[in-house]
Amino acid sequence: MGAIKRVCLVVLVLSLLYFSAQKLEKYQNADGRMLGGVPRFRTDVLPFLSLGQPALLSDLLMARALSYYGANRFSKDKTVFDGLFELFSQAFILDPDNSDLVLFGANTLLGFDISAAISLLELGMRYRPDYWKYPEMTGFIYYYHQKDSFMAARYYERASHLPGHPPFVPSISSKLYEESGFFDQAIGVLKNLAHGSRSDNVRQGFEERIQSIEERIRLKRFRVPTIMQSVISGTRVGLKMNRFNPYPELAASLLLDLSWQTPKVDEGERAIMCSVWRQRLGGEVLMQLNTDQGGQFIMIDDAFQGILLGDGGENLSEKLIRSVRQRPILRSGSPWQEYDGQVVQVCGFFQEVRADGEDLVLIWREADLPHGRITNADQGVFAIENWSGWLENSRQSAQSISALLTFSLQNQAFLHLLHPAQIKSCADTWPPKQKK
Amino acid sequence: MKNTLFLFGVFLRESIRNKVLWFFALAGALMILAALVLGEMVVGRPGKAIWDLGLSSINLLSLAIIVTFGVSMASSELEGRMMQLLLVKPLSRRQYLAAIYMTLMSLVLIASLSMALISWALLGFSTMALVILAVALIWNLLEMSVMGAVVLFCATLSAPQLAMFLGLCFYIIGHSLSEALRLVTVSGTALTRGVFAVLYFILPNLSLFNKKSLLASGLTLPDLWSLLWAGLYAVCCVLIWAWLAQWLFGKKEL
Repeated sequence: MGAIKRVCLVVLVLSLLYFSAQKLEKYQNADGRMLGGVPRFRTDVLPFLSLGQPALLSDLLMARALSYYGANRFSKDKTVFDGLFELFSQAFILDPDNSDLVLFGANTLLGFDISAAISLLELGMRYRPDYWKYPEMTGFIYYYHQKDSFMAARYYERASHLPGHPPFVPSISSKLYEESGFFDQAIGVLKNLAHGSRSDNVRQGFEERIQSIEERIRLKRFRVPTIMQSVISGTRVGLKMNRFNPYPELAASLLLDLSWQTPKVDEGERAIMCSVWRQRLGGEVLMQLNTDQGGQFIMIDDAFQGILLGDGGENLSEKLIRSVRQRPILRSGSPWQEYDGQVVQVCGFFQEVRADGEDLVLIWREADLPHGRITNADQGVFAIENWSGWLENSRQSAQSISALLTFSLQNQAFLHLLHPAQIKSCADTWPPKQKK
Repeated sequence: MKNTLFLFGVFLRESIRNKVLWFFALAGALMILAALVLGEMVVGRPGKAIWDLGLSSINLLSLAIIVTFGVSMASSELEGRMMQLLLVKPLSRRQYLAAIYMTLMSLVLIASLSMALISWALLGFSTMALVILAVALIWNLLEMSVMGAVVLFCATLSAPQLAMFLGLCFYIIGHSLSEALRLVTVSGTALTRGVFAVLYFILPNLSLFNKKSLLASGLTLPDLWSLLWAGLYAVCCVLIWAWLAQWLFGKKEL
C-alpha cells in the first residue's frame, strides 16, 4: 500500500510540475522576453506567485529592476529598458503601501520615457487615491517636461484636494490655470483656498489675486476680440495654393458654412451648420486653411511650418506677433468683426471643443459668450466620423483640444483644432504688451 | 489535562533536541541578515528590506516548523509503533493530538520570537519597531494556529510526505483564495464563481491574516476590531480542522 502511495505521489508531483510549467509558459508575455533575468509574468498572476509574501517579491523585483537599470544605464539602445515600467508597476501592485516606489520608478523612467513615468504615477493614483505626491509629481512632469500648463494645473488641483498636501500645491494650481488661460478654474481654486484659510491676511491675499484675475478677464473680454490685421497680408507669397496636399500635423480643419458670416452674438447657443469634405492626413505642410471652392487647400509658408512643426507651436504667437508688430493691431468689440483686405483674421480661441451627442460644442475662452454648436458633426462629412471617441483619444494623448478660429479673405470661417501647446502661448500674449 | 501537559513537555524537549529545528532557525536568521544586502537596492522607508524579510522569515520559519514537525510528530509515533504503547496509558487520542498541537504552537512562538528579536536588533531596538513586531507576531500566531490544525488534519489523513505536500498546498491556496475569488468574479463563469464561493468558505483563508505589507510600511496598525474578528475566525477554523483531525485519527486502525 505504501509503495502505491509513493508512486501516486511521484506521479502527482510530476504532473503538477508539468502542469505548472505549461501554465507559466502561458502566463509569460507573448514575446517571451526576460528583463534582467526576471521572467515577465502577467500582473494578475503575481499575487499567486508571491505565495503569501507579496512585499518580499516586490523587493526582489525592485532590486532586480534597479540592478538591471544600473547595468544598462549608459546604453545607447533605449529599447533595453522596455519592460522596466512593467517591473516597477508589478512591484508596486504587489506592495501598494510602498508609496516611494512609484515616485522612484517615475523618476527613473523620466530619463527615457516620459509617458511611461506618467502611466506609473497614474497607476499609483489608482491604488493610492489619497496620496497627494502622485498627482503633484504628475503635474510637475506635465509642466516641466511636457510644457502643458493646463494638465499640470489639473493635477496640482487634484493634489490640492488630498490630505497632507503642502500649501504651495493649490497656489501652483491656480497659477498654472491662470498661465494656461483657464481663468475660471484658477478663480475656483483660489476661492477654495480663500474659503479654507483661517488667517484673515491669507484670505485677503487670495481675494486680491481673484480680483486681479477678474480684472484680467475683464480686460481680455474687451481686447481678445483683437483682430490681427494683415497677419499674413502683404505676404501673399507665403500662401500657397494646393488642391491635393493634405495637411499632417493639426488634428483637423473644419469648413464652416458660408451662411455663418459675421454672426451676431445671440442669446442662447448658436447652431452652425457645416459642410466639410473628408481630408487625408500626411504630407509636409502644417496648417491647412480650407477654402470654399472645391476643396482647395491653402498651405502656410515654410516659416509657419517651421514654427508649428519644429517646436509644437510654442512660438506661434511670437511669430504672429512679430509679423504684426510693425503694423497696427486693430481691436474691436466683437471677435467676429470683419475687415476687408485681410487674408486671414485670427478671430479668437476656443477654450475647449466638446462632443455632445452628435454635435460639437465650441466653448469660447470668454466666459460670457454663448457656446458655438456644430450640429450633426458625426454624419460622415467630416474627416472624423466619431467625434466623441476622437476627442477622448486625443485628450488622452494630447491632453486637451482647443481651437483657433480664423476667417479667410472670402469671409470663410475655419476652425483649427489645436493642442494646448500650440494655442497656449497665443492666448498668453494676447493682447500684446504695450511698450512703455 | 495533566497527561496532555506531560506529553507536551516530552514532545517539546524532543523537538528542541532535533537538529532540524536549529537548521531552520539558522536559515531564518540568514534570511533576515540578507536584508542588509537587499536593503541597498530597495526603495522605500528606511529599513524596508529588513521589515519585509524579517516578517517574511517569521512567517516562513513558522510554516516550516508547523509542516515538518507537525507531520513528523503525528506520524513517527504511529510508524515507530510508539503510539500503541502510549495509548495503553490513560491517554486519549484527543489528548495526544492536543499535545502535538500545543508543542507546535510553542515551537512557533519560540522561533517567531527569535526571528523578531534579530529583526528588532537590526532595526535599532526602537520602541516603534517593537510595537509593530509584537503586532506582527500576534497575527502570525493566529495564522499558524490555523495552519497547525490543518497540518494535523493532513497528517492524520495520509502518509507523511503527502501530508507535508498537502499542508504546503493549503498554505498556498489559503493565501491565494481572495485573489482567486476576485479574478473569478471578474472573468469566470457562473459555475466557477459558485465553486470558488463555496471553496472560499470551506478552505481556511490565510490571506486574511496577512498584514505584513501594512505593518512593514509603518503607515498604520491594523485596528483592534480586525484583530478580534481574525481571532474569532482563527478559533473557528482551528475548531473545525482539529475536530476533523481528531475524527480521522479516531477512525484510524493502529
